[in-house]
Amino acid sequence: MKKLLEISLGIVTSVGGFLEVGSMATAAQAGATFGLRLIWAILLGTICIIFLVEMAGRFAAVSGHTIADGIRERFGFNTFLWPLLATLLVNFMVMSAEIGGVAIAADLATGIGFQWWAIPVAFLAWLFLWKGTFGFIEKGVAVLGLVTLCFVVAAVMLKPDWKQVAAGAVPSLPDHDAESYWFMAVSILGASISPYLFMFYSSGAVEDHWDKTYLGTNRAIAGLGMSFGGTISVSVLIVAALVLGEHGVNQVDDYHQLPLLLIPIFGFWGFVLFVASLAIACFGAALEIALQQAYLVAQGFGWTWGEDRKPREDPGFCSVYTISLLLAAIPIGLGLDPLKLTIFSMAVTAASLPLTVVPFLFLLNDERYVGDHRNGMISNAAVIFVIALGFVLAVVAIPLQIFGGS
Amino acid sequence: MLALAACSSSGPVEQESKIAASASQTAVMVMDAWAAGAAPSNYASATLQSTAEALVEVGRQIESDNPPESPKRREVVTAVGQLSAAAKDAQAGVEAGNLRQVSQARQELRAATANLAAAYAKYFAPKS
Repeated sequence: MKKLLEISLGIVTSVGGFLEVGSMATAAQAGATFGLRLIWAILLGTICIIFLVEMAGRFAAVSGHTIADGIRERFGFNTFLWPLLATLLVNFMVMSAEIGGVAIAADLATGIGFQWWAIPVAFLAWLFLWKGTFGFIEKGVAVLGLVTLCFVVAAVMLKPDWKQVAAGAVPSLPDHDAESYWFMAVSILGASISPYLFMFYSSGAVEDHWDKTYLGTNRAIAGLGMSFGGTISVSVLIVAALVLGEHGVNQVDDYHQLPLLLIPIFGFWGFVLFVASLAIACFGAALEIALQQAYLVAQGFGWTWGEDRKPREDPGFCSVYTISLLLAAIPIGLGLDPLKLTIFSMAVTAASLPLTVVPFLFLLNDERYVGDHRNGMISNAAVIFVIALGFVLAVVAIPLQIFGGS
Repeated sequence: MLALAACSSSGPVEQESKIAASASQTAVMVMDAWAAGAAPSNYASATLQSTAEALVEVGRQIESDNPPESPKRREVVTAVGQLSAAAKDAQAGVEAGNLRQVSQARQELRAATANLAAAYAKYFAPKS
């Protein structure tokens, strides 16, 4: 019974934590511009993240190490430095975009420009981290994040042609704006296969003291939680295609356009639901990424770490998330367009994938860490596929940003 | 409008025309939502202002991408200018809480969108 409750809570956490500004913005742009044709990219990204999250959780439960910790110990600090720097940089951009997402929500709700909200949002996030516990942050914000299910309700209410939805799940070539199409596909994959997601998950498993008895729980949370999360992203795309696309709004390059996703369906409450979804989803993601920055640095340098400790017990850990939040708020405070930053950071995330995914192949096959729970053939094939995909994305992401990005 | 949406080429003017058409449809959606009481005035006003600014930028971009004597440029820029002006009128109407002014601006926007589609069809749409 206790395990069932934990699985349910874990799934809720994954669902609530899956949707953030990146997945929302990329799905909305893709749906508005290309209709249902890019559903396959979300599905592919979701399948990849299911495998990576399951492995990250299994690694933590069996070895008691986080992924970052494992990379440093197995390959040495010099090798660890590259994924560390790449992930810190990518996380910085994504965190800035998430703070921007909350700031946009505040702007939409109050009419006060988003740049004025960057520092207050960063301060509020810092306060949550400083005063809160891991469980409070992980589950509290994620439960509130269930408001994003309104996109699923909206998609069902729109009565899409399910045959077309199924057709969109099969990869297809674009019939117009090829560069933009592939750029959107890369950005969707970047938003779905976020390194912070699986790295945070492994740190969370250690924070929650998982052991081998949690392997079944881990598999259920990774599979069901991420699948439900992917369903919300697909729903955003369907809503964008059937609301914005059908009204002739084919270019989503201004965040003011985003509430129009839900207004025609729910009226004024659509506006409220959108603002709440954006604020909660992005705030939750900003908290998780700030924590992830602290986990990475603290684990990399062998410092004491843990969100459940008092700040005086792990001052280095707390300093990292404090500085990270402050720095990430600066670009938004200076007026950088959060939507443009989001799309750009998703493409850069995709480009950085090989650095964070290659170590999975070694760590999850090393008996010293995972014993009998090594990767099977399917898991290894999945990692090799993600690595290959990561290399392709790394090569094409920046040229596509130049030629296909808005 | 359909001609713009179905556009398959992606030269600078075509691309800018598509952005303009999309922005004008955004303005129409916001005006309808505001008129139905589904969008708060500050949001509707900010969106219309942002749309008008985007349209001005589109017009500027088309001017810089084409020689001044180009008829393509003249007609498209005129239509985009009309769209921008209509969005500004709508914004003023929303701020004043004047439903009639917003309704008038909506008609102007529709007319300007038709002009843009006609200019696009004349110069850029695939010939059969």
